[in-house]
Amino acid sequence: MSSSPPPSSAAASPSCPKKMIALRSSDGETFEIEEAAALQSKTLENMIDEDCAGTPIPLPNVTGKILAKVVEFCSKHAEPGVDDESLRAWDAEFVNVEQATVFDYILAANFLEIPTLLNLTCNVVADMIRGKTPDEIRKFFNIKSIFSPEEEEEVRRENHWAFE
Amino acid sequence: MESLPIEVIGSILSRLAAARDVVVASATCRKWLEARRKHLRSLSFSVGDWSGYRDYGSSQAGIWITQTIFQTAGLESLSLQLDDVDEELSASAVVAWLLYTRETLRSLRYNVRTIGDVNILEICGRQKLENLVLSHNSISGVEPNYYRFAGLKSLSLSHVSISALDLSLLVSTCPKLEKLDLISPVIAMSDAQVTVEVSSATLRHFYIEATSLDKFVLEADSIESLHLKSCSLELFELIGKGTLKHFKIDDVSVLHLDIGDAVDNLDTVDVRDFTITSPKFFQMISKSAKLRRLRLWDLMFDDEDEIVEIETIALCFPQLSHLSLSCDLRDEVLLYGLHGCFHFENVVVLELGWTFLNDLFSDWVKLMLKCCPNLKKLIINGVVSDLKTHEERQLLANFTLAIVCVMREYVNIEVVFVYK
Repeated sequence: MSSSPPPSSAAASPSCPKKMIALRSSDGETFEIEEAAALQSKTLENMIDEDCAGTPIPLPNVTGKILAKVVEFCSKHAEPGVDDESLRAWDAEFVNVEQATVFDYILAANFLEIPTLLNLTCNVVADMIRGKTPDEIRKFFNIKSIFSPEEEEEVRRENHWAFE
Repeated sequence: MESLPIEVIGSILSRLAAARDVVVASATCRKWLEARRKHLRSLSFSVGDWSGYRDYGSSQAGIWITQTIFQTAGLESLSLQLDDVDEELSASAVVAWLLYTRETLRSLRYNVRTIGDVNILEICGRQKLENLVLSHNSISGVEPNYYRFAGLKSLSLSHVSISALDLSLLVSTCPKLEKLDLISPVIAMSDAQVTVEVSSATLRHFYIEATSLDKFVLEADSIESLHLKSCSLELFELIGKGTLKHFKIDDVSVLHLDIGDAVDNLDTVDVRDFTITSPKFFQMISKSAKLRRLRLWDLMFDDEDEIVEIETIALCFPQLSHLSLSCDLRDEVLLYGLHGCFHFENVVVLELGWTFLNDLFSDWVKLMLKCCPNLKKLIINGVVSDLKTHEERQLLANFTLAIVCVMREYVNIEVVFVYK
């Protein structure tokens, strides 16, 4: 199954037609993305510079489900003429998903080096963390690896002023 | 969450920024603790976030801040908002924080009251700073041969005491400066007249607020946006190469305003609460054929000849897409060419407002709607807080009814009301 964003009405550049880049997810799905949208990813930017043959770029770290959404994000952010307020609202809706999906977006944004997506998703997680005690944070994110009681005591003592 | 690399945890903690939040969150597990120690890029100490910086006394707060900063490595952004304290912090502690971080620091927000001076320029000049926001401080003795802010792109001085000469020299030490904000600068007056001259070939954005000066001359060949707010000046002159795109004046009184002859690239002009004292003002912008957004709001005209006719606006700016006009329609109704036939072909958003409502306003709205054939959105912006008498409230009721009729006629136009 492949999905491609609808072509925009902007004129193609004189040197080459509007270029579509093919991406292949870890589970074998292929996706097409406009070059302008792909350039939001520094990783893809480097790969595009090296290879113009058009073979799908393999992305072993990203599943099809997540890659589809990443393509959607990059395409939206490459669209001309979207005002800031609408884009912010769209972004808020984009990250209005369950916790596990936000982490998948973070991992994809980190691997593909997409600063806008990384920024958006890290802020979402920061908002989830703010105001919670360490115990609440562990429960919320299901973090299993914790300190020993002695380590915990030491950590709290060292910066006790923050825990008051 | 457990699969996130440690640098990403560092990135998330950096977005918490407030030191206490970061310290508490990093006590979650070993990985997060290490993320704070090695991958934290941004930290903020602000009395606004935690009153403890003030309540526990400055020497105690100083110790905790020193401890926390010294536990980081590679900090890139530091914010110190420690102005609202009962006792000043020790300058040596603050200097220690800046020296510790200066090799990697890219952004510094500094608003700290200290016993003794902290010479930020000397400590941070010659380093990597790209963004500096300095508040409630003083700058003196700028030595352009001694240090350069080679990477500084954005400089904001708020309530900073500086002489006109030092300001000029300071900007000259920033070869890459793109953004300069001056908010309530306290510019020492040594002579009767104070002329401030600032020159930067790279400056793109300039903002000045709450100042009262004789002369301000800005030489900026790459300037894109210029914004003056709540200023009182005798002269403001921009010397450039016609690159200006956005020009905004808000609550300003200036006798001589000159933004140069080459205004071809002007895209937005936003003028509000401004007394027009010279005929040149409208002449100055009238050659901007590419203008797309224009606001003329709460203007006062010293000379009745200067009143701008709407016809003239339509003729000078054929590309206009956003138009905002407010006026005091008591006497000027005839002068606004109610009988003219002119069209704003490209205006899609029209904003009309009043400070004193009268029954002519709805007629004006109807006329303007006829002149904007491609309008998509109408914004009615009015002051209602001083409509107190029965007659005044009746005016508003009549006006509302008139607009309801208008909305029935123009069903494709979105109407928004903004009442103050």
